[in-house]
Amino acid sequence: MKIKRSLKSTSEVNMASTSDIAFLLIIFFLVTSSFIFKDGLHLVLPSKNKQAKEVKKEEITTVEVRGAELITMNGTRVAEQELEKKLSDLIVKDRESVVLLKIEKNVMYQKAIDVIDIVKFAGVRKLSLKMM
Amino acid sequence: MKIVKRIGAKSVIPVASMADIAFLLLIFFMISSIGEVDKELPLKLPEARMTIQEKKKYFNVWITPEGYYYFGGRKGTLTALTTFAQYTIVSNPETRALIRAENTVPYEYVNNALDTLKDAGVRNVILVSKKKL
Repeated sequence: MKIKRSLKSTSEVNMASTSDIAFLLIIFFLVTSSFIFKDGLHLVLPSKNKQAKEVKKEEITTVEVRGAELITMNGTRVAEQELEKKLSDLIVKDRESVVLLKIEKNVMYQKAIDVIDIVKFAGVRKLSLKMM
Repeated sequence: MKIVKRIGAKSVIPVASMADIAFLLLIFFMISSIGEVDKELPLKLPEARMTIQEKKKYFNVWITPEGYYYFGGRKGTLTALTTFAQYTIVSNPETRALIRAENTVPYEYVNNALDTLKDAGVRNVILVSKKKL
């Protein structure tokens, strides 16, 4: 008896789900890689080659941060909200006002960030940082 | 005249190459992210309102609560940080330094890092903070 060979049937490996797996892996890598924080307060440091600019003492507004609670502006004690308002008023009068921010070395970093944040929020563009 | 409908022809969209494209993309993302792999330290970052997201090339300086500095994937001194920052800045002067310090560390540690980076010639520094809501 002659056995007939069937030519119609073809064997195939189903690859459709491979792309699903690959795309799932891509999404996984994209999502997990975006967890690292790159947000923050931007500071431009002075160039060491550039000569320091002299500013008259009267033109400088000095803000001092001592300990957890004490903030002074030109020697007068101020609260955080008050500082923001006073600095905003200062900027309205003169956009180029210079603020010297003196921070005590033992002050907690979060407190220092809070004050730098206030200064930036008030619109101060010329900020100088100094440690006490 | 009667039109005969052909039933034999099947329309199929070939999806075999989709997997190739996906794997190529996967390999691309994996390779391009290798340069940014940095050992992450579990720190409680401070919070601020005026944060901006940095998109340019950067390197991290981690400051732990104990006052240790980590950069380039290892622990180092401030002198070593100067060398590391100078080396990084030479290849790309626009490189930013991202300072990641625990919110409870004394400001002195951050200030020392800022002074070191300034001496090394770094112009742009980001004090990494979470966005205050």
